[in-house]
Amino acid sequence: MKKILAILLVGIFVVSIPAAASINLPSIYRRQIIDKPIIKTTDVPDWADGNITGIYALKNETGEYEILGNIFAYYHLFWGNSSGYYVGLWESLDGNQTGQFSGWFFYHITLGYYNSTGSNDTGGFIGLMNVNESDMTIKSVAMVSGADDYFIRYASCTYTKFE
Amino acid sequence: MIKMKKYYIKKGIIIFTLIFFISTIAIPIINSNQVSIKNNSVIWEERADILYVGGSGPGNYSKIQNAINDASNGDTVFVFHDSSPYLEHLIISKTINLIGEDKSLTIIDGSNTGNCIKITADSVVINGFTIKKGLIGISVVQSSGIEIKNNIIKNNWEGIGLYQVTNSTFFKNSITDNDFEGISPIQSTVNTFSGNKINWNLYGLFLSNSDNNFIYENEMKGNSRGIETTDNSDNNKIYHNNFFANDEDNAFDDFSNTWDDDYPSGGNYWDDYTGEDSNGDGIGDTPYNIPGDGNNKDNYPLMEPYIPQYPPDPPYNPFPPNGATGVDVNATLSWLCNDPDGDDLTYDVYFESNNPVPTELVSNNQTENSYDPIGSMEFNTDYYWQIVAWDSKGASTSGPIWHFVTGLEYNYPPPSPMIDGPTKGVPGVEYIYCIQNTVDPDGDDVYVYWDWGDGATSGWLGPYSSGEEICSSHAWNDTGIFTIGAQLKDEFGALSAWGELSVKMPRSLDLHNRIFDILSKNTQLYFLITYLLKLI
Repeated sequence: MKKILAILLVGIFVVSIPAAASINLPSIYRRQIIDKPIIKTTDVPDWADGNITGIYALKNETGEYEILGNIFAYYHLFWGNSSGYYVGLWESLDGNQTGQFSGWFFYHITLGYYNSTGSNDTGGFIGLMNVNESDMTIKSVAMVSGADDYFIRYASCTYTKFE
Repeated sequence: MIKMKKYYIKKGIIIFTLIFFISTIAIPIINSNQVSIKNNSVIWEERADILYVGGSGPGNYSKIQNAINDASNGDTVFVFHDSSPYLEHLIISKTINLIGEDKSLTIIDGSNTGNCIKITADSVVINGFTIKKGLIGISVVQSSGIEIKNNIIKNNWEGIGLYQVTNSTFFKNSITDNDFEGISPIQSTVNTFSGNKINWNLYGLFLSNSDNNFIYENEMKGNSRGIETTDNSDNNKIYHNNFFANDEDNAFDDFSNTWDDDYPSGGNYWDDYTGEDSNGDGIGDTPYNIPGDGNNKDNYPLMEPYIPQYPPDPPYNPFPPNGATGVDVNATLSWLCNDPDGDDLTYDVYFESNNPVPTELVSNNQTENSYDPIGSMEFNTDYYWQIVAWDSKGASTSGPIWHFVTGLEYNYPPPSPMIDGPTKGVPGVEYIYCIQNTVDPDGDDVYVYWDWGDGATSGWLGPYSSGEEICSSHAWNDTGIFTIGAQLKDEFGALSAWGELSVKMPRSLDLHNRIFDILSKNTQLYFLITYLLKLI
């Protein structure tokens, strides 16, 4: 029942927006990302239940994976750990590009928003994620909207629960 | 005159250049394709070497990639499991069969870096491996005719990744616990995915811009999404699959695909289908709506999971080999056969002489993969045989009709003759020599040929009955040692080894006679010599 409710909420949420690029996160989180970059890996927000570290990647034109950079985020859980939100940083492998992202997750669906430091590049993403509690990993495939196109990104992360 | 000379020089240069040009092009082509030319006909010799990796054989490779590098198109690289895991990232750019000894134990481990196997050639076969911990377990790029079957592909980022792959088969693989997609075809068409267990991945099968593929008899369980079509993936036919407990959706389709195989064959089994089957035909009364914007429906959803029925594989590896000649009439026929489901097999044996379509059922429902005709085969006869394999579920597969020819009946030669007769004699006297061991093993009549050692021969004499004593006589006119030779042959021409006997002719009969004449004419001398001889 909880699952159906969550899916329903996500459905309503997605249907209510015209495109992934304009996903409306709760204003507090959107403001946090855009207006005041609160995230530093050393500053642990008081709402954080744990953190996430990993990499993100794309598939190139021949279907090969290429790792693009690293991601780090703090997450908060609710609804019996089946849902929550996260706020984090991304950084390209060479360190030349950075930005922030935040999003929600509802069971296996995640959707969120990202920006790029020093530019107006922003967009949304929606995808599937899988949490493996036995080895504390998170895998996600998401469709990400860019300026005038969309693309698929892959994320492979581990997570740490705070005591 | 000078003009003529120049003309011939010029012509010679042109001809030489042409020959050189042709030879430099043709020789490498011939070599690379393993061609030989015999009797003005070109024979393509398909090499099919087997290169072994692991195991204890002399010359076996320790690295799979080294064997692949040394293999030629058409070769098989067989990998023993004893050296597993093979921590390698294989690149296959030639048409080979890569066969593992045991799919559970023959492990290729990508160490969480790179792809375990990358294929860029056509018609590559991968069979019998566990492939794990790669970014992509098996990546196939711009290839066709690939066969990936009977593998365990797990714990990779992606199980099987395809980019511009066509006309390939993915059969009976276990593709589980991969981080992202179990199978991810991109711009890939007319491939067949069947009999696979695609479980516990983020996506089971994620089609991207891939059309006209056949997806049937797979199990998709525990994925976040069983099948998703993206990026204009159309005209795929998806039926007889079992969808269980995929977390978000069993399937998601924004495009135009076929999700059933019409009535009464039916569609797929969906564990979240809520319709009823009022007529009990095993097919739901109402369609199953596929989530997504494609408005696709499985019009004939199955009420129970589909249970694939795979017939046995065709029997193979016959003995005597197909087309064999000179086969022993006491040969036992044998063959090999497998069943994809691992069912027990029984065989019907059709075996007949001189009939290219054998209809004589000589054995049925036998469990052994051999058949002994028990003395029924005749010499120099064409035999045709066919095996029909049956699995325990009643499915059968007929093998090809095989053919062989028995050998000619073997004709044993007579024994080497033992010559019996005097070994000393005097010239001019006729002596008799006999051969007693003339018994032919086959009982054939025999002939004899004498060579008396003094240039005289008998020619072939006979026939004599097998075992009959054969005698002949000869007189030598000179002194010396003579070697008598004798040879037997049977009525079919089988020759024995030569038998020999040495004969010494120490005294001349003429000299003896002359002395006797002298003595007989002179009686005093005769008595004197006799007296002297008595004194000695």
